[in-house]
Amino acid sequence: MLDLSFLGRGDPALVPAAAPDLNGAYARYLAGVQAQGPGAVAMSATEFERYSLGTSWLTGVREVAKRVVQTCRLVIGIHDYEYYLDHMRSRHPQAIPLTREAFYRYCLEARYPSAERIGGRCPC
Amino acid sequence: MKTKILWLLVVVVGVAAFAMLTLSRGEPVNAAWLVLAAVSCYAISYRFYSKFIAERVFELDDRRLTPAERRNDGLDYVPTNKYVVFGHHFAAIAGAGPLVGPILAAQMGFLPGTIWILVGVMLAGAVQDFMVLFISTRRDGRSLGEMAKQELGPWVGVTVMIGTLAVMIIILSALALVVVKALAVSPWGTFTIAATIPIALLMGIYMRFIRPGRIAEVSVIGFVLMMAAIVYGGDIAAHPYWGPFFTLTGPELTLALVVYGFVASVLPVWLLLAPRDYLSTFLKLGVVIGLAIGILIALPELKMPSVTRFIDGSGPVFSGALFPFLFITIACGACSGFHALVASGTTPKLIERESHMRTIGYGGMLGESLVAIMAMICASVLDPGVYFAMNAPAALLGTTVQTAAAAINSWGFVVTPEALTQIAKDVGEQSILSRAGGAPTFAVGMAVIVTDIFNSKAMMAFWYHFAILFEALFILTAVDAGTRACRFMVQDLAGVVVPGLGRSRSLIGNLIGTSVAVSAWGWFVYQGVTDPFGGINSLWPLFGIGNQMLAGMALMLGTVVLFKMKKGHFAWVTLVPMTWLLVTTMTAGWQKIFSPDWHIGFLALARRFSEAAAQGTVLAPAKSLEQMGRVAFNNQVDAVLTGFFMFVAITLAVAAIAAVIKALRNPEQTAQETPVVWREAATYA
Repeated sequence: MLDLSFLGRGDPALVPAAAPDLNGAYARYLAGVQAQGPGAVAMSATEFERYSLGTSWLTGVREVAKRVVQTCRLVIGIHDYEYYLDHMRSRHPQAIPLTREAFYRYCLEARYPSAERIGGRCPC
Repeated sequence: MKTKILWLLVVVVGVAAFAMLTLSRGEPVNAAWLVLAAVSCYAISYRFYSKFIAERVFELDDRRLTPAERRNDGLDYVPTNKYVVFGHHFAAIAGAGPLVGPILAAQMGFLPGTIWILVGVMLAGAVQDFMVLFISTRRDGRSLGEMAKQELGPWVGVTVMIGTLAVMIIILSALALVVVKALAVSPWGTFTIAATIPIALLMGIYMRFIRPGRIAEVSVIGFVLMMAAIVYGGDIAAHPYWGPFFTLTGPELTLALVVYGFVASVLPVWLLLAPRDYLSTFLKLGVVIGLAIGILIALPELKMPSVTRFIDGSGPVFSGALFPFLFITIACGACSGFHALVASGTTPKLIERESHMRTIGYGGMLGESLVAIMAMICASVLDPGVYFAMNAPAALLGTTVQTAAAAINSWGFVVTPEALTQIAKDVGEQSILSRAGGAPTFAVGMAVIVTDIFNSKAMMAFWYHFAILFEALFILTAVDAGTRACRFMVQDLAGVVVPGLGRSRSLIGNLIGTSVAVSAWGWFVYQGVTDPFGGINSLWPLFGIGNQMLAGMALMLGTVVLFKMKKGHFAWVTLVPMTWLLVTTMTAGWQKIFSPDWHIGFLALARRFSEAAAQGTVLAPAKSLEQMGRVAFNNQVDAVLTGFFMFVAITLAVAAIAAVIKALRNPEQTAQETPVVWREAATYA
């Protein structure tokens, strides 16, 4: 199974990763906003990252690449193992999650007609 | 204001494209106009009609939690990105159907088929997919049969089950027939397809034991081996021993397919089914995207007239007039009932927000429709003479290029025997005559388009066999998986009659169920291969009637749900396409059974053969009185099956009307949705 860990783990909407503060750029930005006066509202760190040049571009490409790989796997019925792991760790921390291989086998069995389900792909 | 101008522009472009297609009679039209007409139709219907359905009719609400969120387990119910689910859903609905129907319908010219594909998808097909996805998502991703049982009563659930099984068997046989037609007496094609079996076994073992789950790696290995099989297939075909070994006749191929289907569906899925499925799915998506780009680059001329004289019903590819037969010949691409099973399968368990259903359900079907338009273009870039040579049955063409050219010239299309021989030589086949079924025509069309881009005929044979491999591969994958599905359906039905016989994991049950399934579709394929009119003429309408009947059933369910939701004033959204589908399938069904014209009516053809047999005469292509009797019997079975489809549709219509009346009398809303869970304000984004 393709190792996706280099693309960053999980959906950022569900696992809010702390945006890396490159060279304290965000801190400098915050200080700048505060200097404008008490009424100024600063954007969040994630949003700042999106707006700042360089990092946002890479994040975007990374995100698209991840989606493409995820689509390629889902069209043959293989779900996102990283997402599953995150899910198990956050919601059922006491349970032991399936291994990568077992997860893959589960998806494989689930895709084809079996005693549990007829499955759903259009033959025509 | 800016957007208004933009949409006005889209409308103007669409109208101009349609004007070009309809008004320039006689001269070839560029395929660009067809693409433009289609894309503007899709854009307008998606932007306005699907929005109307989403917001006013369904009232999709992102504050409601979807089943994927409520039951999130990371395995089956997984909230997934909208575009990722779109890709998944598109890959699940798009099969061989949209590549076959439009090519057969091209005998009436490209325009009638195109108009039906576009109008049908906007008002019927996409609405059906969207509707079923919606009601299934609101019911925890239940299947069509379960929902029919829940909303219409238990016996309706059983009726839907039997209807689905019958349609499934007919689909499998029609598709298998397409493969047989493409591979008969074609050692190159047969070799490449046969080669996919050891390749798949190798991939399966590799993924199971050597490098578990390395899909990207194994798919690349499989793809390279497959391309090698195409390249060296030409040498194999010319080999003194292996050439004749892979030269199989129709009945031999049928037997091979039946044996293969049996073995493939009994073996564990990881060994054969899954690896072939990976290859065929990626190949399918690649070809669809590649062909779309190819058409845009090549912008070929459409040589087929916009309308031919065969709209009167005398066409050689399939018999029957434009109404109703065009509307059942093109099912997939305009409106496909089978999508109701897909849209109530895996997809609803992946939906992240209710509003995404508009893109996935409605938009996904527009995507399939575009595939159908591309198939129409592939058929229309061929010289009409070549098209008819490939698609008319031997009964009309004879078996030599001379008789074929003479017959086609008599229909008013110009073609020389030399041209037919030359095309066969270009694509590396012995003969291209009477290869009805879509795949070979699509392959030649695609080869012509690609050759046009590179401006060299050297690769034409490669591209032809690539296209044949691509289509045969995913048809065979559908046949494997379909046989497996049939087996469990058979066991299910047996379980209804005798509880305890249901889905069991016992080997005996498995073998019996599989035997029933393969012998059912195998019988129809064999019948098709030996049919005097080429088989497609009888099986494809049967499939069309069954598939459209399934769509009608799904839309009936949708109508009932709308009434139960107290949305009766919007019921026309499903009622209009449903009525049209029922009118066309019922008319077509009636004509297929009772038409006195033996080209059309099953019973008339059966009578013709049995009467001739009674007088002791043998009609071609039957060779003995015994075969005559078999042709008569086959056609009687077809008539009974058509009658059964009509009966199922009528029963369901009665049940639906009863349910609607009951819903109207009840002042409360009675749709049985899963109770709403609202998203917490904090997480609502």
